[in-house]
Formats: sequence, structure tokens, C-alpha cells
Amino acid sequence: MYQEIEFPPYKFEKLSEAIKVNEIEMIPGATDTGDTEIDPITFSIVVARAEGIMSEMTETILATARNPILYGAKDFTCTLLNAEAKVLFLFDCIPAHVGTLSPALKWIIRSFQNDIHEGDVFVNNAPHAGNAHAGDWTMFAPVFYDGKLVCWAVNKCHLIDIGCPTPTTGDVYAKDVYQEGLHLPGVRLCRNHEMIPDLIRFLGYNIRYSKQWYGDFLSQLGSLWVAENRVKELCNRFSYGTVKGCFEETLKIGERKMKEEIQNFPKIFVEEEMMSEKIKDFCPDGVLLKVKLTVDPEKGLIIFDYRDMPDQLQCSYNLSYATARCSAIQGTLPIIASSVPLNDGALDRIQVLLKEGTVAGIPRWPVGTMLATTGFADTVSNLVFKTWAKVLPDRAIAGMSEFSVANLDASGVDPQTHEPYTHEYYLSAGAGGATEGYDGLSHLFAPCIMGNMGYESIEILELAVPNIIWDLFAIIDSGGPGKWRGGISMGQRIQPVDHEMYLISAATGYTNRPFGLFGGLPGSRDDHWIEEHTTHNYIQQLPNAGHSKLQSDQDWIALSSGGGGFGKPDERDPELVKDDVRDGFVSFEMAKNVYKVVINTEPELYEVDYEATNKLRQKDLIENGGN
Amino acid sequence: MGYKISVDVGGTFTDLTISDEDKLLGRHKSPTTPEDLTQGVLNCIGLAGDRLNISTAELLSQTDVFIHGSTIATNAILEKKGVKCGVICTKGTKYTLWRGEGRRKDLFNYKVSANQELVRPYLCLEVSERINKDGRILLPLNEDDVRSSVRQFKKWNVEAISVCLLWSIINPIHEQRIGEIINDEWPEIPFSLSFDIQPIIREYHRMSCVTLNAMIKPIVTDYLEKLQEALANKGFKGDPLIVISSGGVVPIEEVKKKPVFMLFSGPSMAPVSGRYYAQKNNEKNCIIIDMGGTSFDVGTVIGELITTTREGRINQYPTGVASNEILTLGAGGGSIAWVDSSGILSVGPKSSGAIPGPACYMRGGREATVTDACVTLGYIVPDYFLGGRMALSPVLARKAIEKIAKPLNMSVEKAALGICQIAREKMVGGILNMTVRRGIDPREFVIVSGGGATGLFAASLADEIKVRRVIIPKETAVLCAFGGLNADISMSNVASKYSISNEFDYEKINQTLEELDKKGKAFINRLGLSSTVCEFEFYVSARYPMQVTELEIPLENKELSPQSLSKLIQDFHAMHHARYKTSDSGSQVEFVMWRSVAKCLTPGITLQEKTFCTSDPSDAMIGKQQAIFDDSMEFAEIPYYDGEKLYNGMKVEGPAIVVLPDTTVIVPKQHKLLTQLHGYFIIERNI
Repeated sequence: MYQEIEFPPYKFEKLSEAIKVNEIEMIPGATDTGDTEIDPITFSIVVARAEGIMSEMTETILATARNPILYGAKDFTCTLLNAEAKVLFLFDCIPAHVGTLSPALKWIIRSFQNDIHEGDVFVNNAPHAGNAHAGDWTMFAPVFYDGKLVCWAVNKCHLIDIGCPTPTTGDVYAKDVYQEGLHLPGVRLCRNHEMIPDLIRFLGYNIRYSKQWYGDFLSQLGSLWVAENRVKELCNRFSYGTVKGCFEETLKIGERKMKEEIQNFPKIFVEEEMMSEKIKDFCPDGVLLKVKLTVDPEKGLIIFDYRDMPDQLQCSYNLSYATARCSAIQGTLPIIASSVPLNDGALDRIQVLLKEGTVAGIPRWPVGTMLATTGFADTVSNLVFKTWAKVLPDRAIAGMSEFSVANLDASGVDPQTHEPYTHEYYLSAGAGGATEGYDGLSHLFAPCIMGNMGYESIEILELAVPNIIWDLFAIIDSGGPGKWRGGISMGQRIQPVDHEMYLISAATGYTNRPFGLFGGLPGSRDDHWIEEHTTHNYIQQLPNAGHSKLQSDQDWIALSSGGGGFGKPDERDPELVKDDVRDGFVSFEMAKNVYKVVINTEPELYEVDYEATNKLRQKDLIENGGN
Repeated sequence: MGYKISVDVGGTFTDLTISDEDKLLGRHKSPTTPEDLTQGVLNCIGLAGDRLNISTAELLSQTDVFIHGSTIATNAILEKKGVKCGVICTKGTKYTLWRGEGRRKDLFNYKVSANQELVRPYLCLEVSERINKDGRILLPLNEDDVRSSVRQFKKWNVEAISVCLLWSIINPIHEQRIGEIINDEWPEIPFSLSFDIQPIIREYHRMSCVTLNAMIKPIVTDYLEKLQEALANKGFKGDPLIVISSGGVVPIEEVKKKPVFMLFSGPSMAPVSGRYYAQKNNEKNCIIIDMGGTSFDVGTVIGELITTTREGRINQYPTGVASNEILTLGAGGGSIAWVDSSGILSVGPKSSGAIPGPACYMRGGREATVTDACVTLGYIVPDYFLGGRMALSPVLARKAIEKIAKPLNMSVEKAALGICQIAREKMVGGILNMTVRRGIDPREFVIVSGGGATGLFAASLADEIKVRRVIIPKETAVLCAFGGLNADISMSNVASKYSISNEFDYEKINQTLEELDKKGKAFINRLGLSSTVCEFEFYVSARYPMQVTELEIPLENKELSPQSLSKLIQDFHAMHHARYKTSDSGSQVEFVMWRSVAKCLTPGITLQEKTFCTSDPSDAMIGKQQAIFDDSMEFAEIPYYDGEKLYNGMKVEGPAIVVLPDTTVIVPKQHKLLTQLHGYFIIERNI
């Protein structure tokens, strides 16, 4: 039936090249582009309904999933793609998923060819076959109406376990695919809306907490089938041709709007570089990450050149093809006007040149990419932010916290139920950098998330995991000082209840701080350590990447990074500094020494001592020229 | 059986409907009196008495049921007038309100300010204590911490305290003790305890709920007590019923304790009325629009069900309380028009309110409002405004509009028309938000018009969004108050008791259900409503193990047996499949929360059928008035009709004005107004 069985390494073009008409013409309806004459009201309704369908897909997973990364943190994205694997809408999505959906589907379309039918469901979690990283299970269902392909429904969900030798989806030591757990490079899990039982049994055998996984699997299936039903209803209402026509039209609008946006940018070529995280045993001094950016207003193109990136590492910090592409997109979208609709029509105007065998390029088989969505992908996104600061200073944002040690995976055996568990923490978030006119936002986590994930509730967490959360706090002075202050980050103090807990960390942001811009100072860095519970005596420092143990009489304290500042701190409105001090975001010392603001603590709301403040700022101006 | 009165207090007007058994006796409208809202309520009751030729005291002493809705709680939060509140929380949680839930959707936009927290962190004081998920005390409450917090709050002059500790929903002992200490340290200060107000899991939601409650409690309690006293002084012997966010009504004492339940009290009745009229007209779907003096509200009914939200939110703050879903915009008759520095004309959200009101009310208002624009254009007939009980000054209206026309360098008429168009644009945006942007096609809906100012805009709004038909009840101006007469009295009680299907604890659960049943019966007994039919319903929230969201399934009765349990489990699998397209039939089912609803189905209003007379409305015509009905800017003679004299079958061709004692309805060109069998109007576009 198939030409021949393909073995890795797979051809890179199979996940990168645009799908051509002749590759899908054997799927009924796949090449139909629908009606071209559509009235504006119908178009608005169909687009709004598509957003409604995506919301319903999202709600289905939030309501039915059984693992806290999904129901609590919402580390997943639901959307629709067209027959050529182009993303039609991005709405309420995880940034690190934005550019990674299309390559995974292209691989499936090219592998299954004419063997794609109504009622099929495929999974692709294999980074060497177009997926982001193995922990993200991307499930696809083709949606047919009257036997013709309308679109693909997709959801990408971060699972708690994928059968890796260690109980995590992010182990620094997983140097190749054989140490990452199960990889499913485009595998059909359902036919005719029925799951293939032997395959599900096989997965249940190999994945830890299999009942929990099965619940999450049902939840992903439900979300796809809800979408399928709703898209069919939409075709019933407006006709198949109208719906397809509307879908194609949104891609055209995306492309046109993005081109118009880029036409307003300067024609420019810039280079920028950034030191990476230092990782013991793999890159103890860090590696130098380099990008070149060409903006071509005439063609309406943004081109990032990653080909000077350093060689891939023998650990899991390498980016996959999908996330290397995505890092440029997610680093660029913050400077794009919000009037540009987010879909592949727009996103395809951002091109990335990659080299095989580099840390941020095309990974050479079978190197590990388990941390491809966080880790260096966050650092590269920060590098992209920094590059844009040279092009559009007024739109640029300062450095953002990267995926933090505070969000690591913990595992152990619940002393009450005697059941093993793994948990990834979403209690504390790092913060964003400031931009001209606005302070950095808190609660963003990292460039891979940008605040789209939710915090988990202490009570819900304690119900699911044998932990006591003793403290969940805003970190004083974490925001990089500036005229516009970097976002304030959070930290946590956690004790395992009556058992030994195993911590697997794999973060960045521990050796470098989020950069400031135009006189703004960097934000605080990540940190974590162990203290004795009753006395709070310091016991030991914990690594940014590695494995550690925590005893039941100990506390784990973890801090995430603050955002970078923008502009000179002594130009900040003293009233804002006063409010920050009052709420515990900025210390008196920082206020006085860096912001040059003196505060009187007598009244309830504090007040600025303007005389002393002016004197201090004046003195600084004379002595240091204000620098 | 005596009278039944329903009063709805809005920002500008206080509305009243009164019935006797199931017969509507009258509807009345009187200006809201912001300095003392109860005065406006009494004024309105006075009007009802006048109509029946009895005194207020006679009327109230013969009244069995008094139903009341008010926006007092909503406005306190929206206008940031909630009292200054201090929060007492578990050590390590002072940043809970600041932290919120995350889940930013506008993720690529960084030119935005952070969301404002309900209470600033410095006002959240931590006390040393800790209880775990099983209710076990890990750290005893440090009472010195509590005392020093209360003293600190006293020094800072906070006006309320909210208390939210971790796991108080399982073991409330520390919250209770904090309540005692507050009473001891500062007996005058009102406070709310989270386990008591709404024992929901998730500390942020509970803290937001209890803090909202604390912030509005002094305002709401003060108001309700005044109202209760005023009604009692005038002879009312019963217990007033208050409209709550879910669209039901409950006794005043319940709301005084938990005012957070009445956050959406005012507008929640509009969809109840909307559905009533839609059903009368054999329509399953409707959009309810309600334009009053200060705001424009939109709600929807889809397939005869009022659109509700599991947890109503106000300014993004979770309230922890289920409610009818209403979108509110600052576009009412009293909304003020203004011109900014770049010459752009805007309307609202600032409103002239009840005092001074629009310029034409002659109460000292000088700013141009939507009402002034309508008067200037001739849409409102001054002699018939509020049945002729309130004088209007077209001269003052014109003068106010001149202030807008001048900087824009245009005629007064054009400015007035511009104000109306911009207000209408805003309303269209609101309707699209509740429909099209959620994938609902408004073209498949009918509009039900409510609120004192809606009749002026309803037909042209419908035109804009291609809705074919507008229902205008005679009660349009008092639609929320009318809804009150049709609302069920209902009280819901919940109990959190866990049990799993393979080890089901029949004794514990049946006992829980019995207790819930008793609570419901006690509620009915307290009401003592003899002629009403009571219903008792039971529900359970169930889920698969490891899920955190439950589905609520009805129980057949309050006693579970192995047979009924097995049916319950089947029902759960089936509901999960219907809702989420999958089910896990091999799995156990967890039962988490049990709920009872005690309901008094009060007899609603029966609209009388009127006999057909004639299609010719000329007998109802009062006169003609100069008005501008199109863009030509020319005044023309427009006929106006007495709406009370338009009987079944009569047809009014546009352009025309129909005046009712409490509102005005505009019939645009190319439209006709038809009087229906039950007396309400329908406006349709001529094809």
C-alpha cells in the first residue's frame, strides 16, 4: 500500500516544505478552496464560530483531563489546520505551539497519503518527525463533510509522562531519542471513531500512571470530536463551500495584513548574540548563540538566519526543527501590531534559515531534544527580542524570565495512597520585561508561555500531590529597575509530606539574568535550594539541570526570574516607586540607591520625600552624569 | 390572596409592577433617589396606590409578596465605591489576589498595564496558622497575629475585613476563631468569613468572593435594612424577597449575609421576562436588550434556556456565584456625549445619573445626553413624557446639544443625530459581542425590548443587525420589575461529601441528603406561602477520579439505593459522553458535592387575550409633532399615538411615534407596528 517503510533519519524537507496540490489531490475535497464570494457578515460569523469551536475544544480538555498540567496550567493548544497543514487560527494558544503544529501534520500527510479517512485520529510526538518535543502529544483528526475534507482538528497537550526512563518529560541527561521515552512519529490511534485497542494497551503498558494518561487521551479525543461535530454543523448551516471559502480567506487576510505591517518597518540587516545558560557536564561555560535578521519591507518578509548557531549538545537542550522555527516567530510576534490575524498566512512571512547539527537548527538524528520548547528555545526567543530592539526600539521588550527551576518535575510515592506520582509545578511564574510606556508584566512564566498558562491553586495542588505549600510570594526587587520596571516574579516554599521527593530540574535563567534595555537594568535570576523545615537553616544549593532529593523534614525554596527594566531607573516616577515599596515589590535600599527615591513610611500609603529625592537625583546627575 | 409587588431600582429610574393573583394591575416608574434609594421605592409604591385609590399603608398591608431587585451591589464594585477592605489570610498567601489565575489570552501585547487587584497586597495581612486538605491542624492559629492585624486595620480605618484561610472549607475552626477575635477587638467592624459565604475550593476564587462580599456588605446591609424598616413602617408584614444573580428570589436575610449573591440582581430579571414574551410569540431564541438611564444590557435566551455563566465575573474578578449572563455597556438615555481634543464625538460611559439627569429634565443638568438628543430630534413628545407627570424642556435639551454642535461646527440637529448614531453603534457592538462573536447568528433571533429608553432605538438596532422582528411589551419600560413577578422563589443548599462508586457510603450520603431536604423545607416554612406549589430537587456533582471539574446530574429522589446508584453511574457516563464525546465506562465515579433546590413555583402573570377590533389605529392618534426621521435633516410632521389605546389588530405604519405612560416607541420609515392578541407590540420591517 505504501511506497516503502521509511526509517530515520527522515528527510528534513518532509516536515518543512509547503504541501503541494499533487500531494493531497487523492484525498477527497482536500484541494477545494471553497466559495470566493462571501458576504462580510457570514465571514464574521464563520470566523467567530471557529474561535468558538476552539474555545469549546479547550474547555473540553480543561473539564475532563486528569493531569494538572492540562486542567490546571493549561499547557495545551487547540486549533484547526487546512488541508495543506496551514494553521487557520491561533486563539488562546501557547506561544511555543504556534509554529510547531504545521510541521507535525505535514509529516503525517506525506506519510499516510491517500490513507486518510473520516474517523481517523493520528498522534505525532516525535521531534525528528516535525513535532516540538516528545512531551507534547499532538493529536490530529481530519474533519470530513459529505466525504470531503474540510480541515484538520488538532490539539497539542503536554503529558505528565511518556515512558521516559526517569519520571519526567524533561531530563537534561536524555542525550538521544532512546532516553526520552516513547516517540510516535505519526501513528494512527483510531479508525472509524474507534480506538485501536491493541495500540492503546501497548501505550498503557509503557506509560507511567496509565489510568491518568488514558483519561488525558480520552480528553484529547473528546476535544477533537467536539470540533468535528461543530465544523460539520457549521457546514450544515453555511454550506461546505462557504466554510472552506471563509477558511481560505482568513489565510489571505493574514498574509496581506502581515505584509502591510512589515512594509512599515525599516529595511535593515542586524546581528545580535547572547550567552547561553551554563550547564555542568555539557556546556560548563555556556555557548554563544548568534542570529542575523534581515527585514525586507518590499517583499514583506522577515528573515532570521540561525546558521551561525553553535553545534548541538550531547544532552536534551537542543531545539527541534519545529521549535527553532517557532522561537523566531514567538520572539517576533510581540512587536507585531495586534490587528494582524494570527494564522499561517501571516506567520509564513517570518522565515528562518537553519543548519543541521546545531543547537538551534535541525537536530542531527538521534540527538536529544526533550527540552526543545523551554531551555534554549526561551533563550533564543529572548535573543530575538533583543535583536528587534535594534530595529524598533519603541516596540521592543526587555528580557523575559525563562522556564524556571520553580516549574520543575517532582516525583515520589504518595504516603497515603502508596501510589507513585509526578507533578510539574505551576505555582510561581517568572515575569516579563518592560517596554516603552509600560512596566513588565508579572505571571508570564517564559517566552514559551507568555502568560497563557494558568496558575495552579494551592488547594487543588495539595489535593493531588502530597505537598504542603508554605509560602507563595512576590520576590522583592526581582523586577529589573528602569523608568519602566521589569515584571515582579514569584517564588515558593514547599515541603513533601511524609515521603522522599525526587526533583528533576532542567531550566535556564539560572546563570544569566533577563536583560534590560536603554539604561534599564536586568531582572533577578532563578535560584533554588533546600532548607531544614523547622529552623529554615540552609542545607544545599540545587542545580539548574540535574536530579536531587528532598526529605520530608526539608523545604524546597525556588525563585523564578524577574523581567528586565526599560529606560533609566532614576527617571521613574517617584510615586510609582513609592507604591512598589508599599506593596513589597521594591526595597527601601533599591528605591534609594537605584531609583534615587526617598520614602517616608509614616503615613499608611507612604509618601515620597520630594526634597530628599530631588537632592539625591540632582547629586547623581552632577557626579555621574545620570548614568 | 393579596397583592404582589415587584420593584427594580436602576441608576435613573425605579420601576414597579403590581399584580393580584395572576392579573397584572399596573406598572409605574419614578425617578431613582440616589441619596436615599428607599424614598424612590416608596414614591413608586405611592403611584401604585394612587392608581388603585388606596394609600401606601393600605396597599402594603394588603401585600403578600414584595420582590426587589437593585444594582446597588454592582455599582459599588463597578464605580470602585466598595468600602476599604482589609484581608486576613494564611501565612504565605498574601499575594493571592495580586497573583490571580494567570491565563492571559492577549499574549503578544505588551503595551498594557497589569490588571488591578481587588485589594492591594499591603492591605492583605498574614496570620500564622495552617490546616491541611484533611482538615488536620498543622500549625495552630497565632491569635496575637490576628489581634495585631485587626489593630493595624483599625489604625488604617478599613471599613470591612474579609477572612480567607487555606482549607477553611474542610475545617473552618481557625476562620471561626478569627471571627470571634475580630468581634472582641473591634465589635463594630463588619467582616465576612470565606467558609461561611461560599465554601468553594480554590483559594483565589474563594478569597475574591469573600472580599467582594465584605466590600459591598456595609453598603447593601445598610440599604436593605432601611428598605425593610421603611416597608414595615408603612404596614408591610412579610419578608421582602430579593432578586439574586441566578434570576431567582430569596428572603432578605439571606442576602444581607451574602450580598455577593446579588451582584447581578438588577439585570438578571430581564432575560426572565424576555423568555416569557418570546414564548408567548412561539420563539425559542431571543436577544433581550434593556436600555435604562445609565446602561445598556444584553442577555440571550437560546432554545428557551437563559444563557448563564457558571461563575459570574465583575471587572474580571471571580464572584464564586452562578448567574444569568448579561453584558453591560455604558450607553443609556442619561449617557453623556462629549468631544475630545481631536474632534471625535463619543457617548458615555459617564452618565448624568438620576441627579441631575439629562438637561431637559430641568434639574440642573447642563451636559448633552442621549435623551436630550432624542428630545431635540422630536422623538420624545414633551407633554406625554412619563404620562405627562414629568415636565421636559426642549429648550434646555437644545442648549446642551449646542455645546457639542459648536466644536464640531455642525447644526444642532446633526449633532443630535450623531449622538444617537454613536450610541446605537455601541449597542450594536454589545449585541454582536453576545451573539456573532460567539458564533450565534442574530438573524435567527427575535429582539425583546426592555428598559425606559429602548423603544427609541429598538427598531433601528434590529435593522442594523438584520433581526426581522422586535417584541415590545407594554411593560417594556419596567421589564426587570415585570420579570420579578414571574420569578420562582428558590433556595439552593450545598454539602460537600465525598463518596466513590465502588465503596459507596449509603448511610453518610442519605443522611446528607436528608439534612439538605430539611434545610429546604425550613426555607419553605419560613416563607409560609400557602397557595404556591413547592418542588424539591436534588443533584450531585460527579467526576472520574483525577478530574477536577464535575458534571451535575439530577437524582430521582433523596434516598439512594444500589439500584438508583447504578442508574446514577449510567447517567453520569451518558452525560459525559454527550457533553465531551467520550466516556470511561470502566472507571469508578466520584461523587463530590450534593445540592438541593427548594422551589416555590409562584403563579406567573397571565396576559389577557384581547378581542380583535380593527386594523385602523386612527382613534389612538393624539396629534402630530415635528421630528427628524431621516438623514435629510428636515423636520417633518410625524403622527404620534397613545399606545394604551392601540388594541389587538391595530397597525401603525412608520414613520410614527407611539407614547406609553412610561416610555416612547419609535416606528421608523419602512416599518410597521402591530398590536398582538395579548396586547404587546411587534415591529417589523416592510418587505
